[in-house]
Amino acid sequence: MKELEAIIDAFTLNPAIRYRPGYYVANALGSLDVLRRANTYRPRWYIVPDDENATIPAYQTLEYQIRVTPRSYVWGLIANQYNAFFAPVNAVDFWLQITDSCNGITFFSDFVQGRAFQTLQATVTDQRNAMLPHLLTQPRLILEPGLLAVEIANTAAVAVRPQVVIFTAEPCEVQK
Amino acid sequence: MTPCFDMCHGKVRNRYDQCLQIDTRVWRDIQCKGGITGICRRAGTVEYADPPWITMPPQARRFQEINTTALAGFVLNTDLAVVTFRVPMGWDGVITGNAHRFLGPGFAEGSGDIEWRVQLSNRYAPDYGNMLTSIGDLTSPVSFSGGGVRVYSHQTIRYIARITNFAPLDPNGRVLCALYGWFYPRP
Repeated sequence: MKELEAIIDAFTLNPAIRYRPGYYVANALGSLDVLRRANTYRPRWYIVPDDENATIPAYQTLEYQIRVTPRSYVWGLIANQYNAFFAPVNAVDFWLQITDSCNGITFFSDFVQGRAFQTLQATVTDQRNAMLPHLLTQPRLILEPGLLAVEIANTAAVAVRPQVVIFTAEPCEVQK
Repeated sequence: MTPCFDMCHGKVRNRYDQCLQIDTRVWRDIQCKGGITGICRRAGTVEYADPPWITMPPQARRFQEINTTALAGFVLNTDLAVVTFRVPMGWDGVITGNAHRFLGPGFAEGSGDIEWRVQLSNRYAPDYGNMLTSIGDLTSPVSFSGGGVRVYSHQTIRYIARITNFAPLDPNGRVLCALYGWFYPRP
């Protein structure tokens, strides 16, 4: 039986990732295996919100729709919150929900706090060991029409400046 | 199926691409058959002709959550839930109307002396996070923005008020909050 070739990509070259049995990231990467080995997919990152709506007023919910290439796979997320000087702060003031408009199924059973997908760690040492981005348990296929509804709710009494990065792999081959 | 133009840096489809293609085909099939919920529907599953959050189905039951709190019960600049309830397990619902006001003299509309908000779990309902004027009345509640906001099984709903200035308000007054809608069995 022919042995699988080792994958050389950004995940393999990331020294922060510890490939130990039982570690979530290592296992989640395993479920990304087919996507990582495919030739006709390329990375595409989507940023929400856009610059114009970067600040969400107090107690408000930003509803946003992003158009992704149909047949794309969402495989990871990062969420951050910034202060007025664009320095990262704890993302405890905003809550996130993503819905696949194709079937109306949400990514999370209820809104999830931004802190769950944040890169900011408690100490600089922790930061060095962060295994990013946060991987989904399995890449999630987005079919036609390729629309994702993203809702970001600000629960603070002041405006907040969040940023969510949605990592996808999009097909680079146009099918007739 | 052939590529129209080369965006894959000369790489050709391999067997993993074929796997993903099969995956896409399977999910398209599932989608055409009504999605996962359509395929996994069992006998006894509740079905609705129209979306139950738009047209109230016969199985649904209405709710009217109404409460008042005396002004003395509030602490300055602190949120207080005047109405709190939980969506019953196994039921979803929709909030279709609301009302809130200060019962007593002294409240100037839009002054910001009282803030009201509707909270769904941890977040606030869109457009209902910071209301500074009275809305509706017990005899005439106002329809919710967008026709209603959906709520889900076991979610905690709170109608919150916050006093930011006690001075002009009648100390014997009360803060009223009311939410209307219906729950329906989960499809």
